[in-house]
Amino acid sequence: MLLVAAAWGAMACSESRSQAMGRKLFEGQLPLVARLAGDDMLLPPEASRCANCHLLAAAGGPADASGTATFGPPLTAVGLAQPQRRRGGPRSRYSVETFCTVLRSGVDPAHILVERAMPRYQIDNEGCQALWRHLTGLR
Amino acid sequence: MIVLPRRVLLRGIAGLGLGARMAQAGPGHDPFGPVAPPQAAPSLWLLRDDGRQIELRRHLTGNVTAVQLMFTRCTATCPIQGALFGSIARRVRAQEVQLLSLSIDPPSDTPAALRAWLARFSAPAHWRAAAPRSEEVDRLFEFVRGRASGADQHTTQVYLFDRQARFVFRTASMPSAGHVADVCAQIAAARG
Repeated sequence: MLLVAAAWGAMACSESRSQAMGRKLFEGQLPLVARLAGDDMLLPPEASRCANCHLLAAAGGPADASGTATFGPPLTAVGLAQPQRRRGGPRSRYSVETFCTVLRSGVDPAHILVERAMPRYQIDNEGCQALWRHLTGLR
Repeated sequence: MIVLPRRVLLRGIAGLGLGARMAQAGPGHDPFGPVAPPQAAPSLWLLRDDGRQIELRRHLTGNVTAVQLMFTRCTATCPIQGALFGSIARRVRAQEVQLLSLSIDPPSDTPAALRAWLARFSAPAHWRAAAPRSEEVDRLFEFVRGRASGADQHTTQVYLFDRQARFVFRTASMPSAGHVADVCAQIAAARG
């Protein structure tokens, strides 16, 4: 019984570390390697942070832009995992696999290419799974 | 979306003496390609990063110029636009092509803020930044059709002007640096 509890605790602890890694990647505390589609230029870490476009802007902009909207879609568990129409395509939902695909290639789960303002990330399985866990709240 | 008739587009390209490759603007769904006929830059006063007031036309005259809209507090697309201009700046011939980041947020984008923006991207001397007067931001938006919905409020297209300060080409959104550098070189070669 103690062994089972210890094993469960270790697993939960390990998964929490993954979520923490995902949060750091999302917020830019851990750098992400990214390029614009079709371009060989590496983006500086400050330009490739997910939070830049997928969180309400803290600083805001001119006129009424401050804190009213995100540039990219807000990334929430519901928004990612529930079937919905994206970019005019058929209803689709993300899985961890299709989430990794859109990060790397820009192709969404309905096989539609996202716009060029979304960088294409050079991210390994551990990194994109950590981001997925952070965004969906999955432990 | 405004779609120019094919004849008008082709006449514009031929009139500029630009190659067929120029018609192949980068990927995207925004109106992009040659501006036909070329349009004289509007008379707008700018406050530049060096603290100097200068008319837009005067700043543009004499060099081919790549222009982007931005604001220094923008955290979404502007950092990517800055990196893109950094890459373009390294690819073009500084003797004939200059870059200009134009702020849409004059109250915040003082010369010091603009200098800090340029420093973030290690901008070379042929890349400047400036802000129009607050009351003239709308005219700037209307001239380049640069307004966009969403948090950033501006497009990520690059607007190209010839040596006579005429607006001659608009790229697709967030174009590749190589594409912008190629079109700049073709505009420069056209002796416009």
